[in-house]
Amino acid sequence: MDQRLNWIKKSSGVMYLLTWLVELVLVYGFFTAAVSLFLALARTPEWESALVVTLGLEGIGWSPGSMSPALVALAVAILVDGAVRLLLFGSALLIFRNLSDGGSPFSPTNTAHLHRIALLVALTACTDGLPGLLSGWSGLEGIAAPLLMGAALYGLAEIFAYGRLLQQQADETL
Amino acid sequence: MGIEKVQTAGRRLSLLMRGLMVVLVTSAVVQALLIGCLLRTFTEYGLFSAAERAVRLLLWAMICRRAAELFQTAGQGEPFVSKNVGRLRRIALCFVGMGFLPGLAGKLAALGAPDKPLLSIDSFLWAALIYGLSEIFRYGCALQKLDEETL
Repeated sequence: MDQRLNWIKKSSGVMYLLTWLVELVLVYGFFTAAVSLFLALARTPEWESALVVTLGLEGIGWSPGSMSPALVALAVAILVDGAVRLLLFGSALLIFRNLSDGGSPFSPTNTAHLHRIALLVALTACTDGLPGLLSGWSGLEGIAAPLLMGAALYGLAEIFAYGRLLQQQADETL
Repeated sequence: MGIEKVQTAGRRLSLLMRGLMVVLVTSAVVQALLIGCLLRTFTEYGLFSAAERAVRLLLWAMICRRAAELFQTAGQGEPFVSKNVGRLRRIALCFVGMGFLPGLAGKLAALGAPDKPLLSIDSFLWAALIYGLSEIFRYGCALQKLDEETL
């Protein structure tokens, strides 16, 4: 059993670094989008083209000078989605940190983090899927997939809560 | 008290996943029929794009099937069985497949898909996370075995 825990500890160390990397990219993306949106709201001359380029919207047919209020609304939606993703990966980061510290995978904190991840994943259906569907960016999959994954992760979190009981019993036995 | 909650959640989620699986398979079949009917009028890019959607739906259906089986065991009060480790690994594999899908469809189509990324990073992250969960499940199986031996 200790061998398995050691393996989980080592692989979680790698995942911890990987998640840090993703978190840094997300922080960079979030702040770039926030600055672009600030410029857009301040109505500087180049704001619209800067926003289109920063958010990577040229590829899906957005061009500067068209539908400006919709563009700002989309930028706000992308920012909210970015914040949700930051929290989501932040929770994953905390789980991997706990695991790489050698703690039991079935600790109350990990269960709570997994519950939070399930909720945040389901929330991306509103923050990512819905604006995507309205702007013609993605189909129904953008809404259905996060809801499905959120439900599945919620189930896994409940199983983790049961694992916590097993861990308690094992600790008492040993 | 803990196991009753797991059983209830497991039964409900198993039903939900089965229902979704039926919807996804039906959608994939409709998509395939659509490709067959409109084969002559489709452009090359449109054809591969539609085929990509059909394969993606089938992969989601496979994920739902494995998840339904996993939650069924949870509904029976035994979530930590070795078969569930394999199920989670197969789910992770489906996500790896989904990660390569947009690039593959783009490469196969002569016109390519310039607005689509070659790899879906999100899918690879999900695959890594679910593979990690499968290892935790393996540890859970060992705990379950210890619990049964103690009793």
